Amino acid sequence: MTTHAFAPLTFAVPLIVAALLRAAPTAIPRRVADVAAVVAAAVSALLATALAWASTEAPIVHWVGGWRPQGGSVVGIPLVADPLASGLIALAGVLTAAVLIFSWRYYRTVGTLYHTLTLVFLGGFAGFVMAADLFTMFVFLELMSIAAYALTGFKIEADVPLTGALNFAVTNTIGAVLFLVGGTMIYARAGTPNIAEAGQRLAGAGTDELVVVAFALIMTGLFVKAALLPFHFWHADSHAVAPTPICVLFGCVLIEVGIFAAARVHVGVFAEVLGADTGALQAVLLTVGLVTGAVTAVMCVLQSHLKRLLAFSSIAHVGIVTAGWGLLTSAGLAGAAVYVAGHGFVKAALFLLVGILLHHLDSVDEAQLHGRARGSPAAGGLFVAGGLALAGMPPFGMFTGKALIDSAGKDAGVAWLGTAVLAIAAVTGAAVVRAGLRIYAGVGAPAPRDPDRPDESEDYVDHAPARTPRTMIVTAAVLMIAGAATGAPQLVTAAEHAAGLFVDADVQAAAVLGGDQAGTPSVDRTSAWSADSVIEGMLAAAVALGLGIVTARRAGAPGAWGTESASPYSPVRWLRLMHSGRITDYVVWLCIGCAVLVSTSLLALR
Amino acid sequence: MTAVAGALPYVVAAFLLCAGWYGMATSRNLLHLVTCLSVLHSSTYLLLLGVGYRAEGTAPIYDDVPVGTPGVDPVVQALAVTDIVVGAAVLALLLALVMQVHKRHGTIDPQALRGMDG
Repeated sequence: MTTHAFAPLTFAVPLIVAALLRAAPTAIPRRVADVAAVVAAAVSALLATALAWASTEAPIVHWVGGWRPQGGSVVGIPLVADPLASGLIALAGVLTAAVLIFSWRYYRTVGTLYHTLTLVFLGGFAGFVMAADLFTMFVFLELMSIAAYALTGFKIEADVPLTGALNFAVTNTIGAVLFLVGGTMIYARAGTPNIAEAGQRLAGAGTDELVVVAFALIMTGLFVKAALLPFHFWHADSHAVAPTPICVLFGCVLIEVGIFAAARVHVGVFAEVLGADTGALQAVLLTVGLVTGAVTAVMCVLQSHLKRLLAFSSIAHVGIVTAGWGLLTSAGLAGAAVYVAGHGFVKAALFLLVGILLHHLDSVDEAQLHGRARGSPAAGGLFVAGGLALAGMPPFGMFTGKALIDSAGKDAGVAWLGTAVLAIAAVTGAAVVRAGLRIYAGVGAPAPRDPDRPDESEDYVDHAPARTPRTMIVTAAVLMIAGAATGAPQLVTAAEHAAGLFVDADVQAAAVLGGDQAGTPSVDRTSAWSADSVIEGMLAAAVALGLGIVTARRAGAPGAWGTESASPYSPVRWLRLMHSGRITDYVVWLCIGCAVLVSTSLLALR
Repeated sequence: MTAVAGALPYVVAAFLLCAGWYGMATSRNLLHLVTCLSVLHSSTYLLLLGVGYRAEGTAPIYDDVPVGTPGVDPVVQALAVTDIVVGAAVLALLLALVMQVHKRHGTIDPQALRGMDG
């Protein structure tokens, strides 16, 4: 079997094509660059899919440069492909290809730099997901992040608040530094950066303050990437600057990969050494996830800037994913994985629909767009369907993911988790439904123009033709259908199996370090498609639809909930003040969050 | 080597981390803020080298020394070099963004730059 050679190719192919595109003379035809970039992303996705297929029994390990373990200790760098990791790369590859196809007509003039940066992002992403070595993870994390910063600042000719790009780069760099500090502490204690080997050596040495602080620092670094409260500020700000197609990559895979990496590091390095305290860690992660979800769901409803609305909604959904993973069971992780897949496709479709609005109407502000898209019922239908899918309507992947998280919560003694997740999802869905109804159907009164508040964000979009190019609307529709397909029962079964493999540290260690695999991991089977769960999903969708209609009708009217006339002491005002957009504030929030995580970990895990 | 000298790299690394962080939180100039980020980042170089240091060890280049000579840990040295490159790339990108901010908004005081409210 040589399938293991596919693992490095998932990131080598996009990186090599990116380099070739950059080295090619600038005069190469635009379509050549487009096709080459799409093919590279699609090849990466195909290779990842093949790896997911081939690794269902045991993770596939590729030793970079053939440096296999010598005499029982690791000297090389392993790339570990298991179905969960490969699936995430496949999702990123497919979305990157979709983004590049969408951009064919979105930008009439764009240099090859755009393609290069997008492919470097995908390459860094795939490497980060595959790497089973803390130091290699850091390098790929930074490669991915630098490409993302550059993409955010891309096309900054137009009038946008550039501070969003700065906030993104500065906060994420601090996060990466904290990840590296934590990783170095683990290296100092265990003598190896290899995740599986470090886990075994730490388990032998036992826990102490150093291990717990290293854990908290690594988690802080990854939570910054995952945009969890109070590290989430950069995410919405970056969306105001970043080109709309690129927002797809930020909202659908970039923040989710933070949770994936946190899960991988926790299982590999810390699960055994901190083993006795799953209850405390579970409580911390559930709190972080659900508070993030609740706060950002409210922020989502308060937005009239469509890209920021979708950005806050992404953060709320990552909060749900964190809660699913935070149960620290394989069933919870399976739910989180299905949720990420469903959310990825649906949110990508929504961003592309916003891109179409911007393309035609030159605005992404809900109030300014009120009723101006009446002529595109197809896009409107897709947009509202996307809102209902976010709320958890069957058959979308978020429905099955939520059902899995719900039943995993009941098994883990957190019976109310399903209700909390349902409420968060329904509120974010309602915000999208409201925006869709107001823009595509003209429901409610148009908001009065505020002369002090000029339109904040425009991509630099070349002069738009009158008809929506087919590549744009078809891409959005296909993504929405793919989102519905992620609810298939087969994917649920596959995710449960994959999660069982993923959370079993022995299986992972046996694959990397050699030795006997201690049997196949036990997998709990849940039926996500039951009468109860379908009724619950329809209920969530109905709540989102109802809330959406009510708020759409009331929006724009004086005194509507969330308008500026609210009293100076209202919580809504405080929330808005918190999201000040000032980088210095965010740096302080990061410090507070890091201090809280470190001290909580010391109290709870010691 | 005394315990004090052994702990010195970690103390300085922690100081650099905190000093950079404090400088960023109180910054009134984006150039200053970006430089503080660089200071914060440099704490990791020191931490990496401190972790890999071995008393009496030579540089990890073994061509012209007898077999068995103690050397410092090459893994962290390699990572420190990578880390410096990463830091330089981030710094360059951030400085370019600061230039753009100045061109666009005419100020680089983070307090004066109007935030994206709510």
